[in-house]
Amino acid sequence: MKEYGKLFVVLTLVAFLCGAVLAFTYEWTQEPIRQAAEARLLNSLRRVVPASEESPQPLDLPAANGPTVRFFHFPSSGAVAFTVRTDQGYGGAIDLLVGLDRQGRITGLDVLTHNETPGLGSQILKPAFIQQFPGQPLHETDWRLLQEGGAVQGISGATISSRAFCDALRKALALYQTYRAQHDLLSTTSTDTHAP
Amino acid sequence: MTLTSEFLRGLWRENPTFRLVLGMCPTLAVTTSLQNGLGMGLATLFVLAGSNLVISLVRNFIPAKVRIPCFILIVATFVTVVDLLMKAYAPALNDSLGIFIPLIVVNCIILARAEAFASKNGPFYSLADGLGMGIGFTLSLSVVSTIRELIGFGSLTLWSGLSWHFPNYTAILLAILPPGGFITLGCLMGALNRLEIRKAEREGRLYIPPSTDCRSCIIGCGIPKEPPTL
Repeated sequence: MKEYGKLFVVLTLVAFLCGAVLAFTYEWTQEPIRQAAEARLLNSLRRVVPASEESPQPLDLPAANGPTVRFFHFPSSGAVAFTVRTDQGYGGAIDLLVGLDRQGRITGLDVLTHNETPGLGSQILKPAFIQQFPGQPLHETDWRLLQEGGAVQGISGATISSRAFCDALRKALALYQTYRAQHDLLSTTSTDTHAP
Repeated sequence: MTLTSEFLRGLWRENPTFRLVLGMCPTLAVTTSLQNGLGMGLATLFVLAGSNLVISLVRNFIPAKVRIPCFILIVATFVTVVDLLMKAYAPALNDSLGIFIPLIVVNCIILARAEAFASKNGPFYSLADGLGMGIGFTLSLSVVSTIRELIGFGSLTLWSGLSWHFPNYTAILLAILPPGGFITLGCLMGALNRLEIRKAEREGRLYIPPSTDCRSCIIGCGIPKEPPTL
């Protein structure tokens, strides 16, 4: 009985110490991790909206069905960037940062998180694939793969990942329409009007 | 037993991948490119050296009956701490290695070294053992992933800024798909066994792979270690 007591005490003590170390590290790294994530997002924003020098303004708008979406708005150039998530990836969700200019043409895309197969699906990160999008109008392009009648050159061996990418762009279009509808409404009521 | 011999043991004679046949899951799963293989190897090296050191420091306070749960707790804590620190202070490194860090917990090399070596030896020897095994693992993964990337992509990428491509190469995609991992690993292991068998024949002794050879085992199970006879 005494022996079991010792086992119990030692295991509890080890678990407690490990928990303490984890709690301490978590507390200690929370702030740097948040800053790193922020810097990373800003860096990605710079990449998808290349022309802009100004700092992006966050703008939270409720989407058509459910949660609010954070849009990053660049007031003087009229560009906007936002994240869109699809769960159609081969390894689950793919988060895509979409940058658009005033006319709704894609200025840049950046995959924020993905879990695709290394070497196959992960090629959605490669310039050969992702550089086909900048310059294309989001609302006038058929976001399907070439073999399905669309305009997107997919990756051989990674059809599901390529298709998920198309799905993300279709979702992006829906979000962009929400943004346009609400943003134009906001602009006309405010002093910032470019309408006649 | 010297620090150098403990360190060198993991590189070849008891190489965790090819000789002890441990940690097959990461070996097969992440060796699709040199960058990934090297990244997984280095992340494992770091955790292995650290957990070996910590476990050998606390080995005298832990009763034998609860040692395994204690070791797992220590290893998992170590991995999580490394994960958090890397996210906070080396975000660039985390972007390329981050996905491998949580996978280290399930790498049986870590627990095998903790149980077989660190729980029986002092901190300096354990650190040397961890570093040797870790480097041996890193080298093995690099070799497997170099072959697979060369055949499967026709390229070699150390990191995104430093890569090299075969011109006009038709990639054999099979090499980077899961079957390619088994085929590459099997061919390499067969070739290495062949080398060892030749060597043993020249020296006039029977070849026993270290994964089944009791003499190279340091887990004291009580069965006498008889030298095998022809």
